[in-house]
Amino acid sequence: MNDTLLEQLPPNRRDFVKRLLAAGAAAPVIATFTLDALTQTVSSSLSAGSSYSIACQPDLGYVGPTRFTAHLTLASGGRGFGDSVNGEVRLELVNERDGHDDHGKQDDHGKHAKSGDQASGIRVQVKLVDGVTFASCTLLIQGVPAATTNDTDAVLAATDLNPSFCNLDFLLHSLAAGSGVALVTLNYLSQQLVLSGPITPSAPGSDIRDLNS
Amino acid sequence: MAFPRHIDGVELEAADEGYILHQADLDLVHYLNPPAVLVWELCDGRRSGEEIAELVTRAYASGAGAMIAVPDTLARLSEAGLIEYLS
Repeated sequence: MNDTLLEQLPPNRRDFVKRLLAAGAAAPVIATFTLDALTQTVSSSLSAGSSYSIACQPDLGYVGPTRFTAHLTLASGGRGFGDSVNGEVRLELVNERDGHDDHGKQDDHGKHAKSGDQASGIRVQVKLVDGVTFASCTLLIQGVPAATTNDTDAVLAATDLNPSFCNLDFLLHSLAAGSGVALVTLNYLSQQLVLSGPITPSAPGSDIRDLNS
Repeated sequence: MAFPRHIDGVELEAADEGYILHQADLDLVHYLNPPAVLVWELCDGRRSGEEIAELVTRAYASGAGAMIAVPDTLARLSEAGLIEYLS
């Protein structure tokens, strides 16, 4: 780390910049959304000339976890609400044959797709605390929007993906690698708030918890 | 020479693997990863884009900062309405 940079900063910003530097160098990612629909509007890193791009691999199918969870906490707005506004997003692989959750292709634990599986959809369920009004849910991969739904229970197909995300198997591989974040917008007490949480493979036997308890 | 600086009224919150910048007056939310936030953070209205680029490039060990295209990042921050230029 270069001390010249830190010396040029106000003392109260140095620790923050140290944390930024500790995260390592990478191509900058900037994605902008409107709060109303969390629609990507401006300056996506996917725009032409961007220094960031996603390299699609040949679609060889997906092997890995079929269920994922993101525990959501307040990311923006609503100062003072603390932990009272939270939620959960659950993702589940839907199989090719019948459009239902992928029980037929899972292993003994019911949570892993086997070699050669190709996802036909990903079911997205959003659960929020009582008293809030859901607006949208966006899945980010490395900060880049992959798909958005305005329904609390939806099945995303390949056609719903940002075209840069290749296919659903690519998205699943990215989720399994821990690169995903769920971003949910909602209304609460006349304020628009944003919740976010990292998407991780679900623990065995986990169900949507009671968020109000 | 132009000197980029933050737009007023932007609220910064840590998020997973990055940061959320919230412009409440415009109902906009921006997601930035740490290198993008670093560039934004250095836009204080006193450094030029060239000076920011030099600081960022030298801030990381082993020349890794070279992968951060500062001019492009400044252009995208400006497009997103997160910085403005003072002349």
